[in-house]
Amino acid sequence: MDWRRAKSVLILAFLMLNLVLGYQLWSNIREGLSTSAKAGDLSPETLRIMEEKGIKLVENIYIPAETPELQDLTYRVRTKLSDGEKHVLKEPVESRIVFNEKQLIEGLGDIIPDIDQYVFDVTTSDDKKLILYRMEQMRPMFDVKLELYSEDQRIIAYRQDVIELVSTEKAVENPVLPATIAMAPLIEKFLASGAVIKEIKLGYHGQTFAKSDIQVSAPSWRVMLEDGNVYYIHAVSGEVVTEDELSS
Amino acid sequence: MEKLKTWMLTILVVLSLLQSYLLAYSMPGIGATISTTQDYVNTVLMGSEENVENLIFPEDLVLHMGEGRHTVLYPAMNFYDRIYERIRGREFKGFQRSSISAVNWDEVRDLDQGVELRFGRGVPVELLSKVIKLEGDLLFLNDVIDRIWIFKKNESNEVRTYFFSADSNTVYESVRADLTAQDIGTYVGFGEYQTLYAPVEDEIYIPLEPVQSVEAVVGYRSYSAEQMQGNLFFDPAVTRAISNRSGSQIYTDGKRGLQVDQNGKWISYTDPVARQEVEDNISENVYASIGFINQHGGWDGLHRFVYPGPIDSTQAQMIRYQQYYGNYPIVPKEPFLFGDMRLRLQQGAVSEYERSLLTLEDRAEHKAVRWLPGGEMLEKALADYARRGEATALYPALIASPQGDGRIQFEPAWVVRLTDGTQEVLMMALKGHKKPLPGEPGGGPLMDSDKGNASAGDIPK
Repeated sequence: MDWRRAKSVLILAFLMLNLVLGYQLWSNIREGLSTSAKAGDLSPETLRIMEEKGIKLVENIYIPAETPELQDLTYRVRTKLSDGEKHVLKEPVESRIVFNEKQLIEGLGDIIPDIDQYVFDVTTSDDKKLILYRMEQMRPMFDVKLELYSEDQRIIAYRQDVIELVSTEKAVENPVLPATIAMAPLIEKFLASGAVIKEIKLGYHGQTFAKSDIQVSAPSWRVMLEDGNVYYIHAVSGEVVTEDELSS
Repeated sequence: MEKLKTWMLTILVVLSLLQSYLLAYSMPGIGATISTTQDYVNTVLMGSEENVENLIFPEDLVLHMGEGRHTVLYPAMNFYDRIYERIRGREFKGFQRSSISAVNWDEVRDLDQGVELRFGRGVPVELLSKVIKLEGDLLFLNDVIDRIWIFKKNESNEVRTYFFSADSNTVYESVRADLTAQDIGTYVGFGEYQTLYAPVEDEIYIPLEPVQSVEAVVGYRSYSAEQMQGNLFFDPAVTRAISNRSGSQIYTDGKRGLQVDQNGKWISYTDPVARQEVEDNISENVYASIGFINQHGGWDGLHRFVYPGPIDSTQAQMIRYQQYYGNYPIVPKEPFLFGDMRLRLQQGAVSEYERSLLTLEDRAEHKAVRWLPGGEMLEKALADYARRGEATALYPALIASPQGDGRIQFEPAWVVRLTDGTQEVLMMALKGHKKPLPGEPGGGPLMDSDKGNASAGDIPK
């Protein structure tokens, strides 16, 4: 046996194998690092349906590529926004402070409870009503809001959901479905022709029970359309939910 | 040189092993994404399964015996079953559309012998065709029927069959129905010794004499809310129980919710499904709702499908199945919740499901005859009824109320249905178990009284 030649052949073979593996590994890492995917990352089937139904994503939109492990949240509602009255501020403050956390706490920290927990959401706000969501592990709880009413660039009143998280032993962390996969059934079955997707965001959403103080929110992708319609996709099971509350 | 090659080879082998390892463990889909502590939940079948044929039947049959004599039969009564079975065996073909005013119905009602099958708020023809043999065009199949009237022309013995659209403007005549004058004669013959009824406005019939009914006290068994929860949620392992302000339980997995009311006797399940971009179809929804109930809780006894009204684009349809006890529908006494199953569906997906967790025992603990008032007393009560203008039907029903220690009491009453579908008690059965004599309150008219109603006096005894 010519051991020298065999060695050369083996070296060549392993070199090629390493190159292939290396490329694979590199592309995996690159994919994992990037936080956003493009529309092109949706499955070809979904893209075909989007084309057929004329469903578009607004320009500059990004589909989040993150798949963190999240758990359900259980919380107790202290004050409910919908039945709480509007608190009028004694001294109106500048509206633009919502963009800066520090200024927000400085400006309203003494008046609005837990304000440091709430973060401004640009997609759902308009110039009359600024909407902030309570954050949990850097992600918004879509059912827990702080509404700031603004007039002439000044905040004049607010309404707020005040909650307190309740720890449960049952909560299990589950990796969420990537948005590109979770959105496929929504696009196929639920969105109307010509719908334009404005934003896709990961947060928490759950069915609200009017009769209960304790509520449960599950990790959900929120898909907002240009026409104002909102869909939630359960980020673990992939089920599609609408905005309207059914329970009374 | 050779040594270098050996080293290179070793390094390459180790490197490839390392890379393979990294790749394998960073690949998505290799590890199980969802770990369920409880993998499979056995569906406990609580009640029995049903299919559409047993859930659609007329609310009542009106027999027109000619000469202004009428009688009404209710479901599960012997003659009702016999007539309805025979009609189900017939075929109705060749439907011709015409206006309701083409025929003088008051004349037909009082002079011609016939049978009228009344479906309350209506039945979509597509569903009706599963129960009765129909062959018609698309226009007819997409309509909703609330009555079928089969009669024999008094003078010519010719049999005519009409299907009434729920829009109360259109009728469809079946020109090829295989019913004979002899059939009509047989059906009408069944009514010969029944209590006579007189028509008042709005197709309401009032008995001239008291009508016999039954009061009952029935025991029940109850399913636990846990059983129902295990049955309704995909993954009971991630389902939480939270309690509401009144102390009863709510189960949720973040998406679906199950609220338990009345000390665990009534549940309402909610699953906010998104609206799909396909057209809603009532028949599809009805099939889906029956399948859903079959799998989640089943049926306890006889139930009748209640048409929810035309599809409204803004709201999903609420389909109702009204439970019967004996011959009569059950109407719960507020605030007690019992007797109905209600489902809200769109595009075949259930978004709301409300039902009782109670199953009635087969045998009643107590049963006694009660008399529902007839004649003038009932007529007056109806005429004085505050919402008379909205009343669309009058029928005997059983009012259910809880009696503590695991029993339900059923008390007979006259119930009116209003245009929006709600049911209200018009008057309860007479006190005591004795049949009121003619002339007494709630009793029939005195024999010699001349009430102007030709047939009122000669009630066959």
